[in-house]
Amino acid sequence: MVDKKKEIESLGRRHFLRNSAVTGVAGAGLAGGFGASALMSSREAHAAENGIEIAPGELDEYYGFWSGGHQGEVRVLGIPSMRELMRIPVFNVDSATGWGITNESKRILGDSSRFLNGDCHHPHISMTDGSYDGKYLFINDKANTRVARIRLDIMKTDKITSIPNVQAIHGLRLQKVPHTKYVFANAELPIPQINDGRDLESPENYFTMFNAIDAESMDVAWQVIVDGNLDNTDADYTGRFVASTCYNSEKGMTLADTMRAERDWVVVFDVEAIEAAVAAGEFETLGDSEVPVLDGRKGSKLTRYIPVPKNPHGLNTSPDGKYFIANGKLSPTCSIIAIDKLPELFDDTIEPRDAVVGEPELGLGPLHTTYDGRGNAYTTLFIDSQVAKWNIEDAIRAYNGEDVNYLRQKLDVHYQPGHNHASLTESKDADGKWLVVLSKFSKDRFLPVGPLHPENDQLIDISGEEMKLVHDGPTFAEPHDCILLRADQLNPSRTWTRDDPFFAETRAMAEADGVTLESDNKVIRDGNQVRVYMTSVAPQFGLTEFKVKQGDEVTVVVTNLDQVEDLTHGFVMVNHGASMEIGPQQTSSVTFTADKPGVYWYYCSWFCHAMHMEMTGRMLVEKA
Amino acid sequence: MTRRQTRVVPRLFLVAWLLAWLPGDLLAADWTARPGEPLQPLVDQASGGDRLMLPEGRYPGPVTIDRTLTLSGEPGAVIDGGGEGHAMVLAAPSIVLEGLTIENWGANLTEMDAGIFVEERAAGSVIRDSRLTGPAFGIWLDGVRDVQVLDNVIRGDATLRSQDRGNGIHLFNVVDVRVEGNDIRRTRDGIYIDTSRDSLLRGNHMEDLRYGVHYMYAHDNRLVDNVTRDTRTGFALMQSKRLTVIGNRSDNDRHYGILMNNITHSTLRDNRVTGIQQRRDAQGQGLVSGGEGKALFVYNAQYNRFEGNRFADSDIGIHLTAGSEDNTVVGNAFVDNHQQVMYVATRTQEWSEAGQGNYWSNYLGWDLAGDGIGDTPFEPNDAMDRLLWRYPVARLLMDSPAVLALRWIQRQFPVFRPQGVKDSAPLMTEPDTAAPGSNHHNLGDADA
Repeated sequence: MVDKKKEIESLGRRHFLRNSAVTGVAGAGLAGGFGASALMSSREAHAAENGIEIAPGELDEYYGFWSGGHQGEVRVLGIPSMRELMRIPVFNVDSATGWGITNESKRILGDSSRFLNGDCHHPHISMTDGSYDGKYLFINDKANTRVARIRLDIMKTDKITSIPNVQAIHGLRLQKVPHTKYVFANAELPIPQINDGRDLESPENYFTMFNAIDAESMDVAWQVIVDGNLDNTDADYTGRFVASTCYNSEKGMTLADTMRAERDWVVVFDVEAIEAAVAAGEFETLGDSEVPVLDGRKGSKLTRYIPVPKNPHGLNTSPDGKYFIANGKLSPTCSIIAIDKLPELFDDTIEPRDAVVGEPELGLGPLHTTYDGRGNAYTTLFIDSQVAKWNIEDAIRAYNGEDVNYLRQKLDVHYQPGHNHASLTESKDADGKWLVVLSKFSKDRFLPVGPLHPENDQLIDISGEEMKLVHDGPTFAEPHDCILLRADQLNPSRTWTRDDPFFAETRAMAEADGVTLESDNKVIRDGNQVRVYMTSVAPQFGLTEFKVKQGDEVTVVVTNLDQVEDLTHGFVMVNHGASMEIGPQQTSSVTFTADKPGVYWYYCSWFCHAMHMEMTGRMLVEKA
Repeated sequence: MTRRQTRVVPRLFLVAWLLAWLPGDLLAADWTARPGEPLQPLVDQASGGDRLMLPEGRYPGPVTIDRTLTLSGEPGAVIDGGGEGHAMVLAAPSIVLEGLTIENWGANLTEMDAGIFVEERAAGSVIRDSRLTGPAFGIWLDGVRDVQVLDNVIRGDATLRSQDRGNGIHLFNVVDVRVEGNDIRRTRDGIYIDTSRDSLLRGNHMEDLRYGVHYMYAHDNRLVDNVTRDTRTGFALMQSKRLTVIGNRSDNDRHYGILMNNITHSTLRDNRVTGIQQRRDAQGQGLVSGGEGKALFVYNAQYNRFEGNRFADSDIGIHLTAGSEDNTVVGNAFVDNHQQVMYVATRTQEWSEAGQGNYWSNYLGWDLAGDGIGDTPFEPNDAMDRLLWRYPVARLLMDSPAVLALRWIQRQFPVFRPQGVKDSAPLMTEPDTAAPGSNHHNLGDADA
């Protein structure tokens, strides 16, 4: 090594070597007069030159909301920095915030709070007139058949609905126009109707349903039985049509059986016709559920089935409102369905395949398509491990026989992309600046961390003619999808307001106990139920001790009276599994059983003050 | 329609012939169809083991064969599918179709219209020496075992869009199938095979197609001595284990010669891939950035052996990515590819074994020892290659003093070298990569 160093120095090229190894700039220098320095600069430098480096203290231009997959949460990122800003627990249990532990979160989780897991895929933001209105974000739970709503002012989950009669909610999209009245949710896996032990061995009697949930009440408005199964979905910009892919038209119960058909289909739902049928009472109810169930199987006036090649996956509406694009998966094509032909299809004046106006061959394994608002589509190619940029109108011309090259570029991504998502792409405001590609494998892109690897979320600059990869982002399991909107389209609260419905039931409980949350520090005894009300102001709890009897069921209610932004308290009762967040002006409560006598400390878990460590108290448990 | 039994086959011959196929059925007979009359009534009248002779002429279909029959066409015997649905359905074991011309079946892909649709119960059937011309699928084997498709000619309907045509031979969920000596052109894909195993595709010629062989989730199969030409992709091998791919040839396919995606524990030997180049514009530039033709694309594929293959005259010789490690690459020739190797990874791979590496047409080293092995390792993916991969325009610098100096310095100080592929024993002369079909190569277990 010493010898090598000497050799390098004797060459007088040490500096040159370092540069060449890192960026190749020296090569350009030596070549001289080639004007190639920009051409050869490193990726990082390139990004900075484009002014997209977000320096410490600078704010991002976009919010991104990421699903956490089978981890169960939603994550908030800043784009383009890809910095993770927040995690919003939804279907998971979270120790830091107390989600799944506090009484407020358990009320929202309802009966399903017994599930400790979830599998969320598709986050989507409510809309008015085809633009994101920043009010809610909705997300599915495939694992336990639920749909959740997140309030984007407080960035907390505020409603969770279990969907009856079906299993495994997968595709989820929102009505775009005139506003998000419905959340549309696909139940993926067919089951017996009713699923009470009948028809176990009779798959021909299994069915699944397309579900509409009222976005405000979060009640299930109606369900439509379909043939086949349901995968992904999207809505149009008229408010009338929603389309879903089906990859198992065979209704096969084994892998091979699901792959047999040369074509599966896109099923289109006529929302207006469905609403009319519900109003006319043309539905039934199943089992204990009171949700209207309509028949949308083949031959129904509520649906049309458009054959498309083999096991299609993603279904994406173009932001100009013209097309539903179904992604071929096992076919190297995408099928372009013209939305303006759908009224004729429902009138039976054209054949289903007549609604397909283009079917470009893009590459191997097309899964999802997103848009830049300039007429281009970006499709992930799972097998090729690329994103294909293509022009929609050119693809239609090619389908009509013109010799047109509709492909604009193919970009390698790393590795095997699932969803991709361009900024504002699901709204009419698609602005074509950023593209996020959620790659399913990172393989060798990061330092090894054991057998389990992170996924790789890649950020691509699509503002120019050419896609440019600018960032690799390792993420834990498993972003299926994300959504990007401009920072100015959201207006999150800085602190809680005292009348927030999130803890209204806890407030009502306090009122029944004659307690004023904002001032009282009181212990209410009600048989073996003890309710401990206290305030918190950094660095003190309103009660530094309280006494209960062994076996008492203790509910601790903490109200954070601090009004300072970012001054969140925590409450942890040692050795009792109780932990929760109390944000400024928030009330939170947690219930546990004091089952052992003795002294148990409680402390503040969210750092709040210079004397944060001293912010403690004692629970004194008398022997029974 | 010929409803009469034309003649009784000499008993001795009949017995001998039948014993091989259907022992015990001694009443087998030969029937002769009459041109211009539908075949179905004749089939309905025949008994298992009978033979139907079709003299020259047209026979209106469609026809479903629901008993074990042999249909033998004389030259010019044409079965007309009637323009809808399947022309022929095989729905009984051990049917033999030979010497037939089948035309004019349906174009409905949703219904999977086929010239010959072979149902699950048609195990043991043979389709040979026939000619099929039509819009949707040529021959569809549907979840069937032990079928042979031999020496047929299949032509698609070139007036349809490529994506609106069917595949030449479509193998779905089959086991122990042999597809050999077929000539397939202008269908969508030549041979499509998914969720199938223990099958052999040998000596087929596929031309002017989307994919020559389109392979999805099909383990333990053998591809031997097939040829693809002028397709978008020659051999697309995906999501499969234990494939034996020997002696195949891909000429002038556009996107990929051989694509291996998530293929493990497989052998690629003695294949020749030449001229995989994407379409170019008038200025000679590739039409789609990122759409370069790749002679061999190895993606997320491990534990494979690549030996004695020749990859030549393509945009990219071999592209390895997504953790395609632990592959043995030895005795191959990489000849005059625009870019020999595109290796996108962070860990070094050694491409030689027991002192034998590969032949690289752009290797510039010397063999002073005269042992046929270059004196310095060949690293096709050094920092300059990576630079060129990222910034293709820089290729103009290739022979500049700067690049030569950089390369020389990299060799002197490997500490500065990025991870990549290294061939420690590059071959000085091109190995004798035998032409497919010449039987110079050892088929090994492919001859099972």
